[in-house]
Formats: sequence, structure tokens, C-alpha cells
Amino acid sequence: MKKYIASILSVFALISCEAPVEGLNDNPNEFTDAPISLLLNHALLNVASIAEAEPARYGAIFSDQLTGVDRQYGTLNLYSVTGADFDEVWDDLYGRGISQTQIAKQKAQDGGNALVEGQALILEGYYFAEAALVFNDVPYAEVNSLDFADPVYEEQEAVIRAAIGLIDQGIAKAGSASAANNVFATSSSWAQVGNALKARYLLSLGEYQNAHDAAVAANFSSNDNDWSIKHTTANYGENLFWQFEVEQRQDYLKVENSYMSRLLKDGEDVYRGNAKTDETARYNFYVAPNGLSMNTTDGFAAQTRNFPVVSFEEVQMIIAEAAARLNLAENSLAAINKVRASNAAKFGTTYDAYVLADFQAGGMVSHGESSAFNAMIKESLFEKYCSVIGVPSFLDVNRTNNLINVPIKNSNTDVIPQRFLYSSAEQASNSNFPGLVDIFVKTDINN
Amino acid sequence: MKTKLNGFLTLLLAFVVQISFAQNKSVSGVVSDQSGAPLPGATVLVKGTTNGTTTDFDGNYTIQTANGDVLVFSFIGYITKEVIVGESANVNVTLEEDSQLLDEVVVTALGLERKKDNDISSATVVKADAIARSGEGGLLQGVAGKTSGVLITATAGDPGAGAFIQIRGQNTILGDSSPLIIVDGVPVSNSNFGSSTAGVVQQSRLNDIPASDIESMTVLKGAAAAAVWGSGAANGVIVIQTKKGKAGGGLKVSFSSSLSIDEVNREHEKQGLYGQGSRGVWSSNAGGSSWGDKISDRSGAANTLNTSGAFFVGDVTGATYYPITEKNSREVYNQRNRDQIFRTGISQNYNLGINFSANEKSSTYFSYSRLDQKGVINGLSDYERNTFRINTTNKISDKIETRINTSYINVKSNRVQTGSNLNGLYLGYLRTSPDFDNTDYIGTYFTGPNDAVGVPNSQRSYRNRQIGEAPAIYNNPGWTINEVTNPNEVVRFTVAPELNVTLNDNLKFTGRYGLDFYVDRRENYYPAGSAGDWNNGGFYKNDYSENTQNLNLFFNGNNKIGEKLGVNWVLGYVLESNEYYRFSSSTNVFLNPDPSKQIVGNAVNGNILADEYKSKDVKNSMYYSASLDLSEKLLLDLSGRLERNTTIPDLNFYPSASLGYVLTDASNAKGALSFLKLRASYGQVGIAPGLYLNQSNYVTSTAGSEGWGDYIDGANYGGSIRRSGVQGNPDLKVERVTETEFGFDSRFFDNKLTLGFTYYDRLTTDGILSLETPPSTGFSSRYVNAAEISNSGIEFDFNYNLYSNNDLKLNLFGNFTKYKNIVEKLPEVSRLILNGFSSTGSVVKEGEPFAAIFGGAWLRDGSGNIVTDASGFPEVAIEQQVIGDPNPDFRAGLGMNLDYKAINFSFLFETSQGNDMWGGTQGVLRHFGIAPETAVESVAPVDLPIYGSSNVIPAGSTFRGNIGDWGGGLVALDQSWYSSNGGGFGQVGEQFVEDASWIKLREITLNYNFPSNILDFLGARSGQIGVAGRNLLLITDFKGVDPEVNLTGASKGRGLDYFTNPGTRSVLLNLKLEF
Repeated sequence: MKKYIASILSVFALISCEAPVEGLNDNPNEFTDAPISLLLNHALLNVASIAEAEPARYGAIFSDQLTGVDRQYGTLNLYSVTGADFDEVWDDLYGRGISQTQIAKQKAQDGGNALVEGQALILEGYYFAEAALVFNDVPYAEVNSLDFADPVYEEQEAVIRAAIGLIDQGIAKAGSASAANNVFATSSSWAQVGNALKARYLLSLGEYQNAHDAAVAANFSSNDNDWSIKHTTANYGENLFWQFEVEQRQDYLKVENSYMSRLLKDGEDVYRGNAKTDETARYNFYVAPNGLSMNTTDGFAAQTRNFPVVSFEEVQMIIAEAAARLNLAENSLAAINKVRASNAAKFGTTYDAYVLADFQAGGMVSHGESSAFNAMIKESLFEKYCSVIGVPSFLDVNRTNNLINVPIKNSNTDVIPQRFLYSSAEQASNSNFPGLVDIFVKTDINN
Repeated sequence: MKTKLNGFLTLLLAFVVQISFAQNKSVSGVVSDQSGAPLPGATVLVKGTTNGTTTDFDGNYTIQTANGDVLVFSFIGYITKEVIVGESANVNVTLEEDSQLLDEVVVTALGLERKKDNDISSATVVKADAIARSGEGGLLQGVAGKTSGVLITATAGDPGAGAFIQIRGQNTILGDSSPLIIVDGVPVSNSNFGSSTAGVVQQSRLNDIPASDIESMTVLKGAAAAAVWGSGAANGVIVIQTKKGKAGGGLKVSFSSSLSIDEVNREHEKQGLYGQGSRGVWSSNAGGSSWGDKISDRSGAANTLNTSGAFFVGDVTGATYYPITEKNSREVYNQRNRDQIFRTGISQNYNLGINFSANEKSSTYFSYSRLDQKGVINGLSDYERNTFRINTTNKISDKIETRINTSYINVKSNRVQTGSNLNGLYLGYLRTSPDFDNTDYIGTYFTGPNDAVGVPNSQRSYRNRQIGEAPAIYNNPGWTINEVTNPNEVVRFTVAPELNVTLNDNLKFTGRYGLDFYVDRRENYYPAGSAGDWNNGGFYKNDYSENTQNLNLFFNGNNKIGEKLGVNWVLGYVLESNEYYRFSSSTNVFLNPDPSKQIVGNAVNGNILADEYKSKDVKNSMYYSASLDLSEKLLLDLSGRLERNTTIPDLNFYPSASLGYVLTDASNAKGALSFLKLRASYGQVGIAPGLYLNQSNYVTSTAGSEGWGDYIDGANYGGSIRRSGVQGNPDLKVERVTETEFGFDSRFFDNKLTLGFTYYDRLTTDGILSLETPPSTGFSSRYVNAAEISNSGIEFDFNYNLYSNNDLKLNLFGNFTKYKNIVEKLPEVSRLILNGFSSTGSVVKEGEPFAAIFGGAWLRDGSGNIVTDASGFPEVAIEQQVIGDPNPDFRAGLGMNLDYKAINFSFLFETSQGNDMWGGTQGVLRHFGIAPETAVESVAPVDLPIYGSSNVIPAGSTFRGNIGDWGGGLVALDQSWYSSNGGGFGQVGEQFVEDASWIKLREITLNYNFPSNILDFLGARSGQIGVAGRNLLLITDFKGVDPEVNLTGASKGRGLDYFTNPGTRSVLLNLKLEF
């Protein structure tokens, strides 16, 4: 019997020991913390996910700057989407954007690093504003907190205003620093970039005076001021439109017969060229020699083409539009002509300066309007539409009730999509989800 | 204490004996088998009485009897022998094996043998010869259809392809879905990782064991039988015993070989009527579709070429290709393109087994097995497996026996890319337009007549790049199978020493150690000029190693309490450890495009990346099991395991209890019923949380649309790190699987008909899942114990020896399996994708069957009718839904075995009914205008609306396509429809989900046993020659591919076909000789 007892005891002695399993569940493959510089760099890098990647393509297809042709993009061209199509965008905004920015901000506050904190605030404002612009009501105060498992959605306008407030705070802390860094090329300071973004958001709220003032304060005098994501020949350092077309999804996305390409193509009924304007070179900047594909060799989708998140053209056209709406004709004209001069230098074709008479009834850019102010508004929108690829143009079309007459690509609707669908991930898991809203319903600020 | 107890028992026994019988003599002896090995546990009975005993570990017995009595010696699996007691007090008996009854032994989870009639679990045994007879190279595939409750599905017909194995339903979302594999008492790896929607078809490590080495395979389906393995046993246990030599058996040599001829068993049809192009116009530049002109309308003259500029000279035929400006030729290349990629596959299998025993104390089994497969894909598709095994047993003394089982395995294989993959075989092949000839897939591209050098090793493919002038969009299939290389090599060895010490007559100690180590080196080489990311080349290496170690120490006691109560108990300790390591490197954008050398580092620094993953998982447990029997009628099994493991350092307990009652056996058989045993059991097993789910991690980051493939990497921008979207949870608990089981084992008509039936009901509670959290919380998911998965079903096996005499034996056998596997609780989660695409995938969703097919559906009104738009086309539901169930309503196997003199004939049918499959390939072939149903002409009876357009097809006009009617009026199903929501790239996966029920003639064999004159001539003891067929017949309505294939391989994601490599059927020639 002793043997039995001994055997039982020995077995219990072995099992009572925790040593064989202790401490093994500490992941040897991943970090559990990171330095602030790398966290901030992620927050900067992630801007590409919003400005240059899928949302930009969606915006460009919906606003007919580009044409979805093949496979899923053919369906997209007819505005057929589901919530799942926007999961990645949503996660890029909240999971990989705002949350990471807030982690960096918190670390900066804890460490008293005002420069990083200021940059994080501007980026946070950028992500919130971009989210509210395309999705309408979005979570704001309750995001990224262990206290809130189901963040509530707040009103679109309130979120945009709060985002502008964050940018203001950021400018106060980091405004004088250069906004150029590992990710971005620019000659602007953070104050300039912050003001340029503010101008975009104030315009979306219809606050023309404030938008005008912010755009002027941004002081973008040339494309050198563009806040641009850098691209190189390194694998996964290339321009994303180039990667999409050349490496990943050839022929999904083309310029083929898009409204933007027709505006720039000599001979089309909607061609923007006139006695003072030759758009041939700009057309070739967007369109490959085959007349169908994006120009991936030396055009906007070239391998190493930097992508402007906010550009000289956008800022000047905000001034031009806001000034026209504020009846400041000279200011508007000056802004339009600044961009035309820049175009002439950039594309090497004629973009002679307009004079006021050109915008008056019967003038070469009256755009069928009897009021020069209305003509200037349209001209500024057309110019921006032909310069700024992606979401900003999509937003302009919807903000202005399609003033520039973008064609509707599906006969079952009389408007282009007005918003992005909420992410199916939120729908599935957030008890405060406000419900899916159809893609053709205007967002609140445009109502 | 011991003395006291023994004394008491002796006294009691003596008392019982004294009052019961009047024996006058003590007889003792040894019961052994033909080889002289003692038979412990054999029954010795005085005929006509209830006086009996059993032999101890050394086969010794002692019994009180009288001269003239008849002693009956019986042991399961052996022919019962009767001996009349004479003058001698010593009766030694040798029992002969009864080959008819060999299957009557099951092997428990601890590797101990047990009489099937005493087993009260639902274990079933697959006979070794039944596995070997299949002729399958893969052990797993060879078991398919042969026992109930076990679903085995080959993932593709590629050489060495792994198989999905599921015992009963699935039990876990995140945990391992493979059963625990125990070989000779030691757990071994059956990893199958890297199965996704693209890449190559992966292997199953269980298939490293050649079928010819298998002695027996027992499948423990129920939780009760598996509970001693605790958190490793939730998916059931497969217990394999390999062959061992027989002591005293001298030298025995067996040799077998087979030659298998394989071909594709089902192919997708392609239309041959319309050319490449769009809207009825030929074009080489139309998004790769075949909606071009009607080929028969062409003039039939030679194509008009532009010979002024660039051209291509093919390496295969030497032909020169110029851009076509006008397509005049009526030639269709479907057959030629098909013949480019398929061939007749040939497999050769050789097995040599040597049993050697110099004396009664030692025995050795040596085997060598070689399998050499050339796949049905006409390129780098092969599998070569060499296996050595040495099993030795040594009896050092009466008390001590050692055993060492070792094996060495070497697998070398070349695989072909499959699935959703620009470099996949089927993707490039099936989409190729009928009027494009793929033959010259490689050659030299010249920019013009003045280009004397050209670009060698350029690829030519149908889509836009017909003279190799630009990067390929899809690979020409010739390029995929010949230029893109995907070799792997596995080196594996197992060592399993075991020490058995007999402590006394009733107590034995076993110490067992197992080491299973392998390295799997996988490579993917895309030469410059390949499609997708690899126009400038890419080279990927992944080195995996896995080290599974196991130390198992246990005491095994066998006691009789009183005369009728037998107790067989085990008490043990087990330490399990699994170490996994992966090292990966990638080299992109080659500096030197020369494909003759494959060199890591052939790129600038930024394009050479390395990555690794390491993990170690340990379990530290004690366990017990006790089998009690009262007169071998009432049977009770109790077992339990107390376990600590890496992720749960606190003790967890896994109990089980089983109760059985033998209502009828030989002692009281009457009428048709020969044997009946009822059984019921309850057991708990578990699945430990995965490693490292306890922490939130910070990971290097990228930005862009990773889903589409375009993104920028922070590494190119000074480095970037973000907090991962997965929130760690340090409070995770074990997933617990609780099962109750009822069943019976019975035999009828003098044991001719055997029936087994089991009903089970299991429930996984605290199932771990990655709970989707609102991304606005900062995390996209967190791990929680929240899921519940139920799983209930019935299993039925039968075997009927219809007829048996010396010349003719005929038996029928079969099995039936039906299960319901429902995700009962998945709180706050719309669905979780197990594998597949976000557009159509295999998911878990609350209230739905496990692995349900989920995707886009048509919009339906309250009464379930499809809602149509103003034109009459169906509208798309805004939310994705469950659109299919890949689980069968039932599965069944039915076979027959006929022996007539020297001839053996057998067949086995297997069927799966009611399982759905998503025909993703068919959907996409409609998009491209390749599917035959798109190559028809219709006449519009009325003005037919065109999808997405305000135009119509005027009444009376003929168009390419079909006419649809969803209740909103007739509509045109033409290119506009198929290339949008009517095709595979549209939003609606529902329309491609089909019933994929199938019936297969799984195997059919005809063997001839050599007569003695031939055997004498050969000097052989036995010999057999035969012919066999595998999967020769397939009956299914599913289009284009064997519905057993699966895009996502042996992963939990089921029921998806998307350009998956095809399945095969085979004819085999077999030869077996024993010397």
C-alpha cells in the first residue's frame, strides 16, 4: 500500500508545481509600449489612409473625377455599396487615426512635450473633421476610452466645430514648427497647415468669412506650401494611385470618360479651354496616352508623385469662392489668377489671367451666369475640381448641390452619393449606433 | 497496511471459495500467444461453473479445480481453448489469434488496449487493412468514409494536399480545430497552417505517417474518453498504434508497392463561341473579359497584324507575335490551353517492412516507405515522401521492459499557386479568352525591329499584355506552373522511448517520453515578370519548426475486489510542451532578374525584410482513470484531469464518468440477439485560451488600403508604431466542452451483424472569440469568453457478415452521421469571419450553423419576395446575410467486401447530402463572359431594360445573354448585368451558393491472392496483386469542381470555391508480398 500512496503523492507533488508554465504568456514577438516619436509618426503616416487611399478613390469616383471600371469598382461606379465597403475607412479614422493620435497626445502631455502635443492636436482635429464630413454624426467625446464600450454619436456640425477647436489648440502649441517631417514634404509651418485645414472645414459649414480668413492666414503662396505625403521608389513607399493601378488592381480605376477628363479634353462639349486657357497639358497630367488609364508615368499617379493632403490650389480656391460669396470680387479674381499663373508655370500651357469682364454675362467664364459673383463661385469650384483629387471635391459637389453639374452615373438616382455608409463594424457592435442612413441622403450641414 | 489488506482479501477469498465449491486441486500456468508473449488479463474458467480467474501481467494464473474438469481459456482477439485437467498441476496454454476478431480491441487515450465489449465510450476502430487498401498517399484521406462521426475532406487534388478532419462538429472559434493525435501513446503534431484564400495547398503533418506503418487506429469521439487529455482533447482524439515486431517471430519481410494514375475529376466548362473584348467587339484591352465578337462571324482569314513595332518571340514554339489590329481568325484554343496545364498524374508508393526477433526477449520492426507523386498539374507539382521507422522492444528482465519507437520523415514537394491570387493557376487559366493561345507563355520581348537584344524571360498573357509589352495582370498559367516555384521540404523525426516496470502482480509503472520535431522550409519564388506585386520579382522564404515534447509517467493497477468487482486504474502525471518557431524573409524587386538563381538578398536593402514568430506552450497535469466492472456486466469508468497551462496557471479540472450495462452476452444470449450493451457517459474537456491574448500590443504600422493591397509602410518613413486594434484580456478562462452521450453496441444473428449507435449532445461554453468592438473605442476587437456552440448528433455503424464459409466471405458495412452544429451565443457580434472574403466568407453568427456561408443577398420584402427596381432588376439587400450552410444534413458510407477463394473485391461509397457551397469561380466566370450560360443568344420578346442604363434592348432584336424575370417584368441579362451584380464581382454572393451534395465511389478494389505454387516460386509466405480505384465516380449538381475541395484548405472556413485547384480520381495497381 505504501507504493500506492507514494505514487499518488509523487503525482501530486509534480502537479502542484507552477514553475513549468510560469511567465510563458508574455508575448516575445510584440512590444507592449513604444516611444512617442514612433507613435506620432504613425499618426502622420495614417493621414495617407484618409487622404490618398480608398476614401480618395471613392470620392473621385462618386464625383466623376475618375471612373470605376473593373470588378468591384465597376459596381462602385454605379454607386452600389454596402456598409462593409466602409469598414476600412472607418477603422482608419477611429482605430488607426484618432485613437493613436490621442495616445501620442496623452504621452506628450504626460511628458510635457508641447511640440508633439500640438501636432497630435492638429492631427486629431483633422481626423475628427474628415470623419464628420463624410459620415455625418460620428462619435467624439466618448471615443478611445475604457469607460465607454459604446461611444455615442454626436451631431455632425458640433464635431466639426470641436475639431476646429482642436486644431486651434494645436496651432497654439506647435504653430511655429515646420510641418515637414518623415512623412510630409512642405515649406509650411504647422500654423499654416492648421489654418489651411480650418479653411476647408469652415467652408463646409458655410462660414465664408471665417473660411476666407483662415485660408488667407494659411498663406499658401505656391505648391511648395502643399502639405504633401512623400513618395519614393521604395517598395510600399510609392504613390498609392500608382500602386493601385500598376501593382495591385490594374484597370479597376481609370480616367476614361470621366467628367473631369472631359472638362480638360479639347473637343469635348464641356471643355474648359478658351482663348485664355489651354488645358491640354493638364489633361495629359491626369490621363495616360491611351486616353483611358491614369497617367502613372509622369502624371498625378506617377510612382514618386507626392500626394497633397491640402494644397495651394485648394486654399486659393477657398479664398476665391468665399470672397465671391462675400462679394469681394477683386480678392476672388486675385486668387483665381494666382492659381492660373501657377498652372501656366506647372503645365507649360496658356493660363492667361482673367479680368472681371470675363466673368460677366457673356464673358468667356460666365458659366451661363448673369452674375459675375456666381460665375466666380463656379469657376473656383471647377478649378478646384480639376486640381484637387478625392474627398474635398466630393464634398464640394454635395455642399453646392452639384453646382458644376457632375453627371449622375446611375439612372435610378438624381444625385451622387451624399455620404459614406456607416461601418458595418460599428453597426454590429455599438449599441448606440444611430442606424444606417442611405447613401443618397444629404448630411446635416448640407441640408 | 498492505499485509493487512492482502490478508483480509485472502481470507475473504478463501471463505468464498470454501463455501462455494469443493475443489481439491490447485492448477497454475502461463497463458501466452503464438509468439510466446504472455497474455495478461486472459480469462480462465472451469467449464460449467462460475469459478474463474484472470491472468496477471505475466500471464500467470492459479485456479482451484479437480481432475477431469475442463478449463476454458479465453482472451479477446484469440480463439478460445479448452483443456481437460489431468494429473499435472501445471497447465501452460498457447492461444491463437482469431483474425476475425482483431477489430474487437480499442485503444484508450492513454494507449492501453481494451476489449471493445467492455468499452463504454463511443470509440470506433478503423482497421489497418482498410486504410492501407484505400491506396491513398495521405493517411487521413484513406480513412474517409470508414467510420461514423469523422468528417475527412481532402482540400484539393494537389500532391501531398492536407485534409480537413472534424470529429463530430466544430467546438471552438479561435482554438485549434484538429483532433489530438496520439501515436504509440505520445501526442504528435498535426499542424496545418498557412491556409488562406491564396497561396498554395498546404499539407497535413499527420500524412507524414505512411498507412503501411499503422497497426490500428481508434477514434475517440466523445469527451468522456478523451478527458484525460484535458484542454487538448476538445476535438476528439485519434489514437494510432504503429506496427511492432513480435518477440520470437524470427525474420518476416513484407513488401508492397502501388502505382497510381491520377487525373482531374471535374473541370469548369468554358465557352468557345465569343472572343476577347467587350460589348460584342473584339479587343485585347477590355478588362480581361470575353464579351467580344462572335467568333463564327469572323472572316476566317489570318489576323491583321501591326508588324512595324514591338513584337514577342515565344520560347516554347519559337513563333513571333505581333499586336493584332484586326482579329479574323476563328481559331479557339480552349482545348490547347487546357492541355497546357493538366496531365495524367503518376504516383508510386513502395513500402518495405521487416520484423526481426532474435529471441523471446526482443523484437524490432523496421520499415521504409517511399511515396513519389507527380501531380495532375502539368508543371512543378509533385510530392516525395521518404519515411523510416524503427520500433524495438526489449525485455531486460521479468520486471522491466523497454520500447523505443523512432521515425524519420523527409518530404519534398513542389506546389502550384491557387485561389484568389493573380499568380494562381485557375485564375489565369479559366479567365483566359477562348481565342487566345497560352502556349507561348515565356519569350523575348523586342521593342521594335531595331531592338536586337530584347528582354528575355518576358511573360506573355492574354490580358492586355499579348506581346509581353507590360506587366502581366494575371499570370499565363504556363508561367504559373513552370516559372513560379513553391517548393517545401520537411525534415521530421520522432523519438518515443518507453519504460515499463512491473512493480507487483497488480501494479505496473510506465514512463513514456515523446519528441516530435520537424522543420518545414517553404519558399515562394516569383521571377521578374510575374503578375501582381512581382513584375520585378519576389522571393519569400518561411522556415517553420515545431517541437512537441511529452513526458508521461503513470501507474497502472489491476485489482479484484471480491470475486466480481474488477478495478483497473491509472494514475499519472504528464508534462506537455510545444515550441513553435517561424523565420521569414522576403526579397522584392530583384537587382538581378536572372531566374536561374534564387537568392535572398537579391535587392536593395529596403526591399529585403525579415520577420519571426516564436511561442512556447506548456501544460502540466495529473490525471486518473478507473474502470470498474461488476462481473463484466455493470461497467463504470471514471476519469479526471487536473491541469495547469501557460495561459491559465490556475488549476482546471476536467472530469468524466461513463456507465455501461451488458444486458446480453454469450451467457444469456437468446433469439437473434447475441450481445447488447447500453452505455451513457458524461465528460468535460476544454480548449485553453491561445497564447498572448492577454496583452494589447504595439505593432509596426502601415497606412493605405491594405485590403486592396496599396499602402505605404512606416519603415520607409522613419518607422512608425501604433497600438494594435486587438485589445488583450488577461482574465480569459478555458473554453469548456461538456458532453453527454448515450448509445448501445449490439450484435445479432450469432454475432454476424454488429450495430453501434450513439447519440451525443455537447455544448461549448465560455467560447473565446474576438469580439468586434466599435472601432470608435480605439480597438476593433477584444478577446472575451462569450460564445456558446452546441453540437448534437447521431452516429451509426454497422457490419454484417452476410455469408462466410471457407471459400466465400461476404460482408457489408456502413456508417451514418448526422449532426447539428449551431452557434448558440455570439453576443454583440454580427458575424465573425472564420476564413474567406469579406464579400463572401465562412462565418460564425449567432443562431446559425457553424461556418455558415455569409455574404450579399437580394433585397426581400416582408413575405420573402425579391424586391425589384423600376426596371425589374433585383435590388441588393444593404446588409449581408447567411446565404448557405456548408454542413451536411448527413454523411454516410456504405461498402462491401467479398472474398471468394483467392479473389477479394470491395467497394465503398460515401455521400454528403445537403451541404452548400459558394461557387465563387462560376460567379466570376460569368463576369468575364467565360461561363457557358453567358454564351447564348436570346431574342427580346419585348423591350428589355439593360442593367444600370436607361437604354433598352428593343423587342425583336437578338442579343448575347439571357432573359431574367424577378417579378418586375422581363429584363436583359447581358454583359451589363453579368459584369455588375449578376456576376461574381457584384454585391450578391447568394446567387452562386449551390447545393453541393455529392455521392462518391470512394474506393473500389479487386485483389488476387497468389496461390501456393506462385508463392513457392517467389519464396513468399503470401502475396497479392490488385487494382483499385479512388473517387472514380462523382455524382453532384455542383458545377465545375469537386465539391470536396475548399479554397481555405484545412482551416475552419468551409464551403468556398474560388479558383481552387481541382480534385482528382485515381486508378491504382497494387502488389503485396510477405516473406
